Amino acid sequence: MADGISKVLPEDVMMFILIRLNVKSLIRLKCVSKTLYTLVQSSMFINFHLKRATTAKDEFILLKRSFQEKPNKFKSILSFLFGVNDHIDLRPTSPDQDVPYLTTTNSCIFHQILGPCRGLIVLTDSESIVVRISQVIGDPPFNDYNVREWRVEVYDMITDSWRDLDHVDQQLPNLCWYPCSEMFYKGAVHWFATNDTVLILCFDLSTEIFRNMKMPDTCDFFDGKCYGLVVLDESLTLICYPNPGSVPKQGKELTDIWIMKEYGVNESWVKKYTIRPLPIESPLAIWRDHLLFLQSKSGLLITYDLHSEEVKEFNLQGFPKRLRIAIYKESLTPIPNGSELRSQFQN
Amino acid sequence: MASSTTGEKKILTLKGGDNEEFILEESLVLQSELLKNMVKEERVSSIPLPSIKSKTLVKIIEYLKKHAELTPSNKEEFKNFEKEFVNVVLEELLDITVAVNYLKINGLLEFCCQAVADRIKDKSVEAVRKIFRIESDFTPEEESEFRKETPEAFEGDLDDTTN
Repeated sequence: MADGISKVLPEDVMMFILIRLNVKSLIRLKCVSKTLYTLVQSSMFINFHLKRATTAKDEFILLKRSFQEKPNKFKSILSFLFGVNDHIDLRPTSPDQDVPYLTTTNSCIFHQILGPCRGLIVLTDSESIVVRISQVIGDPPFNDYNVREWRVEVYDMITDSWRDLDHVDQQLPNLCWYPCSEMFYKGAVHWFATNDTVLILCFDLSTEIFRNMKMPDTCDFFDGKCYGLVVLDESLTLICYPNPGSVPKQGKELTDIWIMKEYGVNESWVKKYTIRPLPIESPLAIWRDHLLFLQSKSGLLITYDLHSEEVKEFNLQGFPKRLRIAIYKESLTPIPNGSELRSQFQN
Repeated sequence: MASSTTGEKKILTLKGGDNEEFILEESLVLQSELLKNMVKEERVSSIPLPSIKSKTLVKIIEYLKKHAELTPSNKEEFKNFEKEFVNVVLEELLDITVAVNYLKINGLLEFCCQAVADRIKDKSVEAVRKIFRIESDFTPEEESEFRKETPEAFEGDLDDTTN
């Protein structure tokens, strides 16, 4: 009786070898035997594979662009890119994909890409419907001005349904929207919000508790700046850039990059870079800790090298404010069968 | 005091599968967790390793010597040595990997596993079965289902030689 295991290598060595393979090879090689098939699909193997040592070569870029087809009709496309050479050139790893189930009206300006979280990336559209999700994801609090009551719903992957959070008794600040303002970091979703001043609102996915974090002292909601959240040197990073919709005030044309040295400690904000005036429509992400991806006012994808201060344009563009980027590495994490959502999209 | 000494350096004998003996400084074998425990706890001076071919043992000892000489200044040289080290026929690489796993030489094990992964990543299912001597435990129905669903899995590099 065949047992499906190697007569050459012990099982643990076999696993050490397999976790070093990319997803494409693993999907192919799991057909070798039932034993291997079961191993590769096990959550233990998926976790090991996710935490494997990777290099810059294993990092890919997910780029979402939206194009205007008619006055209030947009089309969204996902591109999967990787960098060639250090002086990066971006090439596709696989063909572009349409995402027909995202909103296609002008409100596609609110699309966000969250994650990756345990190997999955979440696309949300203007109604904050979570299209793909891992574990539990918070939904921005809905602020209903008439009833003055907070309603927070969380999509729960395990029960595959939306669930009201009933223990939100605190007064939540009003969310304010910027293109690169929804971010997943250290197990929490982050947004910008205002009460008297602008702050960062966090929702911890494991405890389901909201927290506020202060912005650096010099950030003033009324100085005509927009904000973006990214990760740099593994720290929560704030980008303050001039509002692209207005002429910057004297002395406010620069972009500042702040790092929160110690996560959650309001006093630990440090200004790391100041960038010369650039035609920034929105920041997108920081790659390899020195390349700041931006959308230019003309809609193009550009990078600004934080070290050399060089700007590079790419032949990739989308409607202004509608480019999004997530940096990811391949994972085996299966997308949960969201029966409710899936059928909703099929109907 | 079981191990013999010449001056300050302790000497140890490793006996390969075909009874060939290798005499080396004890400090070298301490890179192997298995041998380290044997030397420290049992105070032996000769260790039989019947499951490891002498040819494999020669390679591993060569690595231990090079690794012991590793300094920040010859890092590049060591990297090149590592590259050459795994540039052997696949069958030999698998022998080395199994032996290194048994001896628990962790850094080298990781390097060998990566080398094996690089060599099999584009191989077809059939080739991988032969290389690792895995007999499929799928039922014929499951197997033909796979061939229909993912025909590309059975394509790829069909070269199953371990040479």
